[in-house]
Amino acid sequence: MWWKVTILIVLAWVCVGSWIFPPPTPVRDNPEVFRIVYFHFPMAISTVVAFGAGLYFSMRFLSTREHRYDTRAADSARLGMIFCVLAAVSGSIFAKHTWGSYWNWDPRETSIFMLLLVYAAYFALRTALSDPDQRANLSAVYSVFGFVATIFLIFIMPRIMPGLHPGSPKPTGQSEGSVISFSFKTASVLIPSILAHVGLFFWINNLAYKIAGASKEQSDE
Amino acid sequence: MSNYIPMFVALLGWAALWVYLYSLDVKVKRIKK
Repeated sequence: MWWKVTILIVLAWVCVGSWIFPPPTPVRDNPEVFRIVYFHFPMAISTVVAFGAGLYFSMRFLSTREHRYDTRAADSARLGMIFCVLAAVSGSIFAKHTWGSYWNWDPRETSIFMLLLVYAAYFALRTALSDPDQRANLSAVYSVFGFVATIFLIFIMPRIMPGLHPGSPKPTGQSEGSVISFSFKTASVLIPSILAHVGLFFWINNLAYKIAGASKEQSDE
Repeated sequence: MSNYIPMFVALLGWAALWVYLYSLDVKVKRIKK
C-alpha cells in the first residue's frame, strides 16, 4: 500500500514540478515544449525495463516451465509496447518543435519504429499458435532475442550513427535542441518521474497478473 | 491562474488513473479471499 501512495505523491509532484519550473533548454519555436521531456524520457526508460522484465519472466518460464511466468512475460511486453508508443508520440511532439517535423527518420526514431515491429511480431507469434505449451515455448525464446534487439536498437545503434537526438555522436542539421543541460531543478523532477514510471509499470504488471489469476479461478469454479 | 489549467488537468487525470488502479487492486483482493 505505502509504495502505491508514494507513486501517487511522486507523480503528482512531477505534474506540478514540470509545470512550475522554467523549461531549462530553449527549443526553436516553443520553449514550453521542453516540459514533455519529464514524461517522454521516463516512458522510454520504462519501455526498456518492461522488455527487460519480459526477458526475465521468459527465462524463468524456460527454466521452470510454469505458465504463470509466460503470462507475466506477455503482460510485460504488452506494457512495454504501450510505454514505447507513448514515448514515440511524446517524442514526435517534441521533435516537431525542435527539429521542425513530427517524424525525421533520425536513428533514434528509426530504432523505436523497428523495436515496435519486433514486439508486434512477438504478439503476432503468440496469436498464431493455439497450443499453449508451444506458444509459451516459442514466445519465450523469441522474447530473449527480442531483448537482444532492444539493447542494440536503444543503446547501440543511435549512439554510433549521427543524428538529431541527444546522445548521437555528431548532431546534424538544426541541433540547438539536441543538447540538454540538467540543472538541480530539472533533476528534482526528472529522476522522481523515472522512478515513479518504473514503479507504475511494476504495479500494473502485477495487477494484470492477479486479474488473470482471479478470472482463471472464477472460470474453474 | 489560467496558465495552471494544464497542470490541474494533468493532476486530475493522474488522480483518476490512480483511483482506477487502486480500485482494481481492492477488487482482485476481494475475489481472491
